[in-house]
Amino acid sequence: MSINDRLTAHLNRGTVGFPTALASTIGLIMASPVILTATMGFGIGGSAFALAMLLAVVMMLAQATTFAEAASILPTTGSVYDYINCGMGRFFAITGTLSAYLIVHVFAGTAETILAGVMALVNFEHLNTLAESAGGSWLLGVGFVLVFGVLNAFGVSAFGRAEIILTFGMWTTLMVFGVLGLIAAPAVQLEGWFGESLVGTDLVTVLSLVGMAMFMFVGCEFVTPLAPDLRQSAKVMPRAMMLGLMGVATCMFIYGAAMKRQVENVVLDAASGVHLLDTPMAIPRFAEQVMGQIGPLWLGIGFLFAGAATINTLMAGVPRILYGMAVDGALPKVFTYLHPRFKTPLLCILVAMLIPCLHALYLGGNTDNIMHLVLAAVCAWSFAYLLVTLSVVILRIRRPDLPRAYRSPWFPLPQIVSSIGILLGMWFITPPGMNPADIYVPFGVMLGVTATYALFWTLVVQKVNPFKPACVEEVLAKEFNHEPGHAHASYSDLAAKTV
Amino acid sequence: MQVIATLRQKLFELFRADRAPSGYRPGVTLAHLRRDLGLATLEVDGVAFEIVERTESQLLMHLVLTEYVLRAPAAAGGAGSFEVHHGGAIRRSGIHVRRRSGNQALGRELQARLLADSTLFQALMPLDFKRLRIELHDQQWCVRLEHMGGSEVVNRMPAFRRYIALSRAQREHLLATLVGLHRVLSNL
Repeated sequence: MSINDRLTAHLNRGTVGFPTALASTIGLIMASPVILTATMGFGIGGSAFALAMLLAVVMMLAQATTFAEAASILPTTGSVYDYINCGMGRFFAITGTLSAYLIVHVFAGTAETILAGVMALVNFEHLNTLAESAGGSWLLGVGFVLVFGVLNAFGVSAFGRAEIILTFGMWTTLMVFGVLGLIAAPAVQLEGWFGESLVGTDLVTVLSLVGMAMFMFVGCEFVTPLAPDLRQSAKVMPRAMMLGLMGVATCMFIYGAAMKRQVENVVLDAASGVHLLDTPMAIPRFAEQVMGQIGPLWLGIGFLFAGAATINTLMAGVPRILYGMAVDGALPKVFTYLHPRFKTPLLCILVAMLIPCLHALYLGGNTDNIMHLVLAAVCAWSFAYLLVTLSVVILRIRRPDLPRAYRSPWFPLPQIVSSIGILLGMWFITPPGMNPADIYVPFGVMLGVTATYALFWTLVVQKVNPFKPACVEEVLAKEFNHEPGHAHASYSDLAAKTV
Repeated sequence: MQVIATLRQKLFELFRADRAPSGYRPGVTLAHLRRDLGLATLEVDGVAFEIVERTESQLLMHLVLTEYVLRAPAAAGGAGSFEVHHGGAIRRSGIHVRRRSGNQALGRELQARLLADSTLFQALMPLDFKRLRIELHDQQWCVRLEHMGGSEVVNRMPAFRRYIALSRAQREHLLATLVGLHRVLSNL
């Protein structure tokens, strides 16, 4: 059977329907950086930020169709790496994949570590004072990383059974506070639902807020690998994506409108122009306004559990991925070391602990850096998206004959919309009042290091042309050659899959 | 009344312990693992085994883990449950059997047989198994082995899926272990 026949057979399985697809679309994420980004975005941008969020939804939707087509051409375990490798070659594949996974983790993971403690303790006045005198409430996040790192090293899976309760709790908390904030008598007289923008409403300002808005929808491509398995994927996937994205956007709109109605965005520091909604202090003020004394307590406990569970997730997931990379030969063999008794990848856990802790320590836990970290993560994430889009376009032009269970509709319109949107988002990523260098320099340095590594790896270690695209049939053959009845491919081939 | 009953049923399904995590693709990890194993049927040297998938949920993430299930007739009757693990603090220093329930003497005998069968011992020592449980019930042994490889990490923030492969060396140790366990347990 030819590769094409086998791919067609693989794609024809189509066993998943709309409910599963909808359940797999982006969920509401009550991670501290997301909530702070929403608070700050609505604080400075008001209705302009709401418009930026709508633009971000359109971009994400367009981008998702590209990811879905890529997944249907190459339903492989390498995913992003294989898409870019077949479109643009190994150099871009390694750089893009590390950018999508590792650089995003370096920035967003550090933001989560710093904010986990700050967002929780800011709701408990006495505890916060105590924590600040002991070095800062952000150290609680570092403590979470250490505790959950050690627990995972002993093979203890915290929060495993509480996942559904936590997810439901997050959604309920935001909706309850949002709806109550909307129906309660307003504490602030607003113009419109989201109030006036403090930074203007011209196009450039709206574009400068799109980067922040994109962070609300982190993980929107989560559903796309399902595309080949979906019945009538061309219809089902965009519908599920649209409903999922609009669900999150609605929840954030309710939260943002409620926050603006209930908390006066007073100037805290006239010299630096910092407003209350730019800081985590807005959260307890909002909670108290909506629900009295019980409000900050509820939100504090909610953020405490959400922060702890998110960090625990990082400590459970990232080490296993590092172990997998070492098994594939992309990392030194020493990373495959498992503790004899607990069978946990100790070295990988140590690295996963050190990345956010050292980065947070380097930044001194300063919450002023959070938005820079978030936006640098958005840059890394956008860069990988661009490479995937380019690869899908290249493959459409170069290989129109490939079987595609899902074809992005109205090609190349979604690709043009998402690429232009992402490029504009990256170009104007700095919101008014921020220094662009604080975002571009750390992102540029990380990307430069990654690109250097990719060049070294392809030229010196793999000794291949870094810019020669891989043949789709060869990549699929490697994948399907492992099917029962076929001999094993050399594992040095798999080492090419860096992530 | 009907609406309330339906709602109650939906809520029950939402909160039930074995609910599949969102984004879980049943059978996909298993298909990757079968490619790694490269076997036409789940049988090695006449010893048949099964592979089952299970999920482990975390917040905004889930793991898809695979478990090898091997059954062998038991010479002895009774019931018992034992866990096998490596010994050592830094380096693997041996194989230990821990009794969870059942006859203590049977546990000691099981450990002695595992150590005495040199082929099995040499396969078990380098094998990266996460869990190895051996149960006796109704004159039948049931082995459940979970390996570090053949699993998948599905993350939501940042969003990615990654399959953790079963390396060729580990595949050889794994198949030798399954054959060895069948041999040892059939005579116990």
